[in-house]
Amino acid sequence: MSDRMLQFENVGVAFRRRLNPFSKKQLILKDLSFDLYRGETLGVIGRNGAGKSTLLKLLADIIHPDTGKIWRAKGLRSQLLSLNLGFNKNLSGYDNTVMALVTQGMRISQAKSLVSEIAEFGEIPHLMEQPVGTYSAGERARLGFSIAIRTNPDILLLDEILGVGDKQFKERSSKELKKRVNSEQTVVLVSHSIRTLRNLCDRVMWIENGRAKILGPTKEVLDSYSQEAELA
Amino acid sequence: MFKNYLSIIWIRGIGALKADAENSYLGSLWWVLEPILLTALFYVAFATGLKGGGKGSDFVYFLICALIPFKWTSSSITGSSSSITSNKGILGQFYLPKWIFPTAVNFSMLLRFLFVLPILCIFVAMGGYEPQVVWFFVLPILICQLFINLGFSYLTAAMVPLIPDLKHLVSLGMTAILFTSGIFFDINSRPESVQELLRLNPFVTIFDSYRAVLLRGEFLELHTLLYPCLFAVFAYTIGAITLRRFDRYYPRTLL
Repeated sequence: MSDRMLQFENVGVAFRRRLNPFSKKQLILKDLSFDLYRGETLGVIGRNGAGKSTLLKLLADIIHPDTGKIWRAKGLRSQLLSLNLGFNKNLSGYDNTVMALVTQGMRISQAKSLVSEIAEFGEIPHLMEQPVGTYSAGERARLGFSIAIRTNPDILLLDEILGVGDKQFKERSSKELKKRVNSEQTVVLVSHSIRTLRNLCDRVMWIENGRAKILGPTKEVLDSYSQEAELA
Repeated sequence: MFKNYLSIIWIRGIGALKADAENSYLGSLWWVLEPILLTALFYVAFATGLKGGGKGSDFVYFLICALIPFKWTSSSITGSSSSITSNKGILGQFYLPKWIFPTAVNFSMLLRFLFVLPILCIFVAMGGYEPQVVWFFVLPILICQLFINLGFSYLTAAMVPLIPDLKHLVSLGMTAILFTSGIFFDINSRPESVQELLRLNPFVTIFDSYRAVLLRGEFLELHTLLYPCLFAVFAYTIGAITLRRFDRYYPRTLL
């Protein structure tokens, strides 16, 4: 675990909660420092509003920090796995799939050749010619997951572990995701489930008040986290 | 990387057109129908007033030669102004340079215009305006208008997410262009001093050039397009710089 991919150095992010330019900025992250290594799965735990989602946005390079520095290995691509791929409800499953894959960085021909495989995985080949607007919520989630799991970033960012759809597909999708997490893939996983983190992570970071309260081996961090949760 | 961006613009531009054609019963027919209805509306509203000026039924052709290009500009700019906000789903997942979104809107609107333009030409030809070689001058006018559309699109796409109040001004701005660009009056018939003032609006030149070529069969002197092009470059530069400067800031405004 010596190959460093990314380094946070005293990173801080502040947001205004209102448009009013005179409203006070609120610090979400204050002074966050940590390293991320190739191939590891780093868990992130913390209370609501601790800054976990903001951390994911920084990791995905979607926003820049207000203070501090983030160093990343050259050409690093990180992506948040999400089912909200901005589907266009008037377009068919096929068109939406191609559009989503190309937006994620694939070539058009490559994307087109993958569509049938994706439909197979989601068990919705019969729906691919229909507009996504006519899908049920579950069917849409199946399509969303089947596309999302195809992405191949250097760092995969997960907000909660996503098992979607009916019972059968939920098992299948979370199994697929766990397979990804346990592979060589570098993963940052945000979750409230101590069990999930215990099963999947090499290290865990506990965020509180915009700082890394503890960062260390999974067992150590989670033990003290659950201890404090019980006390509270 | 850049090639991927072009693919994204291509696939999203085509996708938007397809979706637009699917979301109503008449679909892509509306691309033609809407400007025709608008022309009819203006004809009913203004024809009587202008007939005294000796325009007669020519007024329909006079109107439509400006209204169809106007619709192109107005849908490009309006669509672009909300293009970053409406893609917040994607922008919350991974990084994409923001200029992609107004560019994709402009690409799809350009395709739409290229679909409608031949219909306009046929309509004008059927009205007794004989097609001539000078009609090919439509091409440089079109390119110039594309530049200016892109310029204003970048500008509004960049500014509206930062100052959401501006979205009210965008629709007001489109109405302003509609009423001050000589769409339903002939700029050339106005007093010299008024003309000078009105010609500060770059769209006046654009719309008048379409008429000059298609209706009056005039040879277009390309230097007339210089001013609109300069205007386009100016708007584009400010827009592009703002988009770049706030590239990583826009996602924060979308939370």
